[in-house]
Amino acid sequence: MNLLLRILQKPSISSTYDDQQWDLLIRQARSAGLLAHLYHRFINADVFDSIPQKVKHHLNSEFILSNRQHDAARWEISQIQQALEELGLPIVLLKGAAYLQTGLPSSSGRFFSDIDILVPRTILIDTEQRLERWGWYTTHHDEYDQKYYRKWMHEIPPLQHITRKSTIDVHHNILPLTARLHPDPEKLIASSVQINEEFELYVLCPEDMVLHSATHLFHDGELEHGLRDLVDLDRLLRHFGEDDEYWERLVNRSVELELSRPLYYALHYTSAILKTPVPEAILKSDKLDRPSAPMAFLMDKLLMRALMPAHHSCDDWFTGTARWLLYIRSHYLRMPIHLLIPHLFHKSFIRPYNEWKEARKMDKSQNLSKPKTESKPEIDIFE
Amino acid sequence: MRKTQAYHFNTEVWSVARVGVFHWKKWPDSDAVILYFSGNGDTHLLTYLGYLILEELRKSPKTQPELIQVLTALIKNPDEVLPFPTEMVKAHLFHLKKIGLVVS
Amino acid sequence: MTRLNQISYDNFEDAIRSSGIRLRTGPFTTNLSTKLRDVIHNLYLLYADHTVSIEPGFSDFHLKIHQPSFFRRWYHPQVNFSFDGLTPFNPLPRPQAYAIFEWGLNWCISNYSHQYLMLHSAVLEKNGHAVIFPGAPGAGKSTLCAALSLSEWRLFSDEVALIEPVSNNLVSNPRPISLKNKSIEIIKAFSGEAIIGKTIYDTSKGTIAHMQPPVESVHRSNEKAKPKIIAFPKFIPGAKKSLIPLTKGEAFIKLCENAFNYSTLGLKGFDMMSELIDQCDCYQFEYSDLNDAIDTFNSIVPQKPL
Repeated sequence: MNLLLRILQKPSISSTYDDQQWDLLIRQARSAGLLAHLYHRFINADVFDSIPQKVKHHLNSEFILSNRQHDAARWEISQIQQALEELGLPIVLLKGAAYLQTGLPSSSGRFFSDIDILVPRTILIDTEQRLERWGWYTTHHDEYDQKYYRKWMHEIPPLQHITRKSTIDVHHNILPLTARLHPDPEKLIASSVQINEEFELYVLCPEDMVLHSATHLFHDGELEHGLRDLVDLDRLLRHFGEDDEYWERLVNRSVELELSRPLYYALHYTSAILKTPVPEAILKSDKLDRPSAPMAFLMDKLLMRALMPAHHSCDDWFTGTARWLLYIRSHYLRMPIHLLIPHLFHKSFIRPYNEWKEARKMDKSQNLSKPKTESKPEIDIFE
Repeated sequence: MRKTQAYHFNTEVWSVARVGVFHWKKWPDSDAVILYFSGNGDTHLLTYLGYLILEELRKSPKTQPELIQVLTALIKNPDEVLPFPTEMVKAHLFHLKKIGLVVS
Repeated sequence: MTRLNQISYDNFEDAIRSSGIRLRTGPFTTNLSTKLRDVIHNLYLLYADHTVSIEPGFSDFHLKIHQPSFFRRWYHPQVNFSFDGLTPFNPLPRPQAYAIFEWGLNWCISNYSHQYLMLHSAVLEKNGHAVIFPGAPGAGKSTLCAALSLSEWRLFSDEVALIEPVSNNLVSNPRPISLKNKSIEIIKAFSGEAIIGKTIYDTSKGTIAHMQPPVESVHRSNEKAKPKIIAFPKFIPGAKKSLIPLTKGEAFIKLCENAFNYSTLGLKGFDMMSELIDQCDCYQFEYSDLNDAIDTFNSIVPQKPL
């Protein structure tokens, strides 16, 4: 029973909910990372006050958490901007950071863990060095990872701030160099929009913003936050789509950037799952790169599952397999198969083996009999 | 090396962090002041001098000599003449910079 | 909702093994299911006066205490805590099952209740005034808390102070008090009334056992109180008791260090903390004798407001 989708389509139907329905809704929204988003949706639909107090607590709690995260992100953005201002080149904020800094409706209650920026590839090294002077250091010390990122990826390995632990992803493109699609980053930067005149901070233009979000979700992503990313697209499309001419521009731009397949998926699934008001003529436009009928059928079977909240109440017998197949697909789309197989091999065998070797070394040196895996935090944070 | 540093210190302009607002809380039982800085969300217990420095820099950016001049005028005591603790101001500025409240 | 001691053990066991029971602790309702006998048994003893329901309804947290895999049941058996299908922690050795429940519930509260300002503190109330005992581990907070709760002080919590916004009232959340190592014997010797659950050995904190919260504290858990005193306790063997006033500024910073979510609340946290410190007398409290400690707090807590 998927209550979350119905609420996302129409928040006001919550007025009929009983305790058990609220219970399930809160759990589904939490697993989808959309509780704070729901807070804003209920406020905007003017139904928040009629929600039972015990339910409001959870919405409030997540709202407070997302607010804090947004404040922290604003601070990080201001630090990045100061670190890079002497470059005198535009720094383009992407995704969550861009929505936040421009106050787009898609930023309300949205959680995001990293700040993503796009810079011209020519100043990548300079950017990295300047950020390092402001305390951001690389997180990947594994030689294979460094090589892999720098040779094949659209970003350098994530940088983490030494004291505040915030993470920046510095991109020079929105898709890996090895990917099947090749949007031209220079076009993206050339069309980007300055946020305010004082600073060299930019965001992608409205069309590119949607195309990036669509590409990330349907071509590159592993769909771990599938529904949340779809909600981003829905919010962006509703907002920009108020301008009637936007839709045509969006489709044309997708052709120009060779991203009309991901755009097709974005328009199709936002309107199918979240009832996003995409004009009929746009959905049927010849310019969109539709998958063949069998492919569309298969993708439907997979995506209609992977885009649901990651909560067991929304799963069926095929959900696990669907998520796994899409994970493989995302890697396949990122790089040709002769690169992919060694990479996945490294990911699944060589790395665990190295980690196991390290762990054994530690065990021997400390002479501990107890197995100790520190991948998860210890529970005993209390006295 | 020392000389250039000192020279630098006299001309360097100090100002408060670009983003964020200072919120103060003070009680009569001590001189220390609690500061909440909305920029990075940190809370600090500062000396009264720290408070004065931040408030003066908030009004306008200043070099260190300018700052000392203003501070001396602020705490002037008609009964006694005390040389102003320049080193203390320097130490404060370095500390405030380290915790992200001022920039130079 | 009925008191747990009004439900037969068999009915309780059936419910908790199948769809789970809903356990009310102060403002929180926890849906808990487990098949582990020792957990069920300890719960039945320690939460005897709490309200529970076996009907479905709204729960704040959905927890399961279970053994991670079939074959590990014989080889170094382990126990896992899951929060609505997620397992946020590494499993612990099987005998620590009850402890993982208490710690897990603490974790849920401190992570998902930002509607409150939360401090890592014991809280007790007398004459309508609440005393907050923020505690660094090993400071003797729980021992003092248990002793006061057995001496006509009303227990609010031995782990977390919940402060409501706007009113700045403390919200009561009485649960079993976690006693560690020597404290277990000290409290047994202190009062014959103390009801103590199963002893759990070799945890990361040593030996622990939980004390049932006094009946009256549980029954009055919907009554809030105004904070009046903040005392940072420190147990020093052989020391004479001393109550040293702290400046408000010092207390503010020390209390921030003991908060679960002060920084998460941002400016609101600063405002709430400022108001809390305004309202309270703040002390550092050193002691070695529990009776001395109780006398001290009996003498400094104001009379009931008229």
